Amino acid sequence: MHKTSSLALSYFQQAAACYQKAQYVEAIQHYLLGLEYDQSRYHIYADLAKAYEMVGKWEQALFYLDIALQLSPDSQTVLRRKARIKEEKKYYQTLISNSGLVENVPPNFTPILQTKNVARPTQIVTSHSLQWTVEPAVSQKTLWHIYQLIEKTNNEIGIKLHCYPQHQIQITIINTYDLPTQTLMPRWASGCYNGQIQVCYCADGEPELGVLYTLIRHEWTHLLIDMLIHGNCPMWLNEGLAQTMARPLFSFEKLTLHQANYNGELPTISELNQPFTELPTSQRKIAYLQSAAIVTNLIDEGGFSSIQQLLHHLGNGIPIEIAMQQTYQKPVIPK
Amino acid sequence: MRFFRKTPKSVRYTDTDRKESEILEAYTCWLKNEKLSRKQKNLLKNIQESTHFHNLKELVDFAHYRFQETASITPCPGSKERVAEKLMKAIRGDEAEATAELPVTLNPQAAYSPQAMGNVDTDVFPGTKTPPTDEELNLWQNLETRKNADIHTLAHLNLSFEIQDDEVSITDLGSSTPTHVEGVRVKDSAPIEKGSEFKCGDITFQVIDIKNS
Repeated sequence: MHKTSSLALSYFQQAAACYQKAQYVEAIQHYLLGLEYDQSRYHIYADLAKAYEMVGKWEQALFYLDIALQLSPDSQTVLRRKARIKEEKKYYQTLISNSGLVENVPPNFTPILQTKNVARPTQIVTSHSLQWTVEPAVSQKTLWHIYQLIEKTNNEIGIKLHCYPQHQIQITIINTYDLPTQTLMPRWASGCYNGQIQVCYCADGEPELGVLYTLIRHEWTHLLIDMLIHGNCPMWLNEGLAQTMARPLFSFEKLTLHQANYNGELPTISELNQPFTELPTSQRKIAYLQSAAIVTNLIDEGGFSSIQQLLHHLGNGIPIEIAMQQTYQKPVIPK
Repeated sequence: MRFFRKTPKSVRYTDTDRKESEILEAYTCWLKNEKLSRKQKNLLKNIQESTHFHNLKELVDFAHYRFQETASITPCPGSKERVAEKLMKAIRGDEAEATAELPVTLNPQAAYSPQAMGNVDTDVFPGTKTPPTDEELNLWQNLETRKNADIHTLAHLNLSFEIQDDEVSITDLGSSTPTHVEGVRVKDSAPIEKGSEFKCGDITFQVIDIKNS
């Protein structure tokens, strides 16, 4: 009995260590192995569910949360996770089901599969304005879906911001599940724009398309803002607009913002102009959420055309304070 | 592509104009793999050494590579005229036309998107050598809820709002915490409007706005 308990704990320890390193697929494997020896701890089921959440496996996450609730029906953490994952599942699944993806892969869709001189097989898709790679290779159908989602992003966000790339855009989509460490970007991030777009996901197999689509929309917005404003965009506007274009805030995110406001922890606008990478984890999350809330407020105030006007002013080199005054005819953001 | 043409006698070119034209002529001949005279070879050194010709050289390159007359490339209607006009503007020293292509910053500051799902603030239970104590579990359990201890919430079944003919009323659903509108306990339902205050348990609300959805 003692031996099996130690073995289970050892697996759970390794699972937690993998989770900390954002190796969610390995964390799941260790949790499941540990649960073969010890099924008495509700928090293990809750944490396993959280790991499943991070790879976008909503059904499995909810399944293990239900087991956790059987063991501890009043656990606030488990109830909160369940509410959150149900909301995420509903949003991302609806996003994809409403996106009108064509299922059948057309015969002229012929990505290049590169296997030589690369660590993992990589698919490359090239069109007149895009070159994107997926590493490691995914199924042809998933690739076709990603292609449609990128085209949709280009059309939808292009129409909103009146901007389309004039040069070929590079997009890299990487599954990090078997990479030793996530070296591409910080652990807390899943996408990056630095002249080209990088998007990461962690999955044992095909990516969760809803999440991937949201990340691409976020980074695509950064790309267009960079084209329109050439680096003259305040951080809060850049991140807030990218967040707003990617997806609406979830209710648990609004609650986080509400709590931060209640506790007097909301950053000031000048703090929101600092690079978010330099903020501590808890403040960074709030900075993203608050930026999104500010941009949503601006859209409510003046419609999306006001955002276009604001970007136009900033693109002409007008400082943000004057651009805000000219666009909204009044100070909209408290200092 | 030639840079000499018949011009009215009244137009006078300076020696510098003539020399620049000869240099560009030589460069164009070189691009087209035509045989160069010794004079042209000497003139070509100018275009390599002087930055003065940089813009003109680019235009000639553009015109040559994009519109060389080959069987496979058919320039769009009007393209040649536009390029010629651009070229002549540059030769005349007019301000260069703003390029339609937006400049792309080479190294923009990296912009990240945060984790797209989940909540990175709360972590999994850290691995411990021994099974977690009740105290540790409580800490994990209440990681967020302790912070929110001062935030009051209502049960789902405290009250409901109803709208009929633009009038909004509040209905007490008979929970253990009674509802008051403007200090008067609601027995069944009571109308509310913008600015009304209602109290449920120990929480007081004020109606800021009413919107029809």
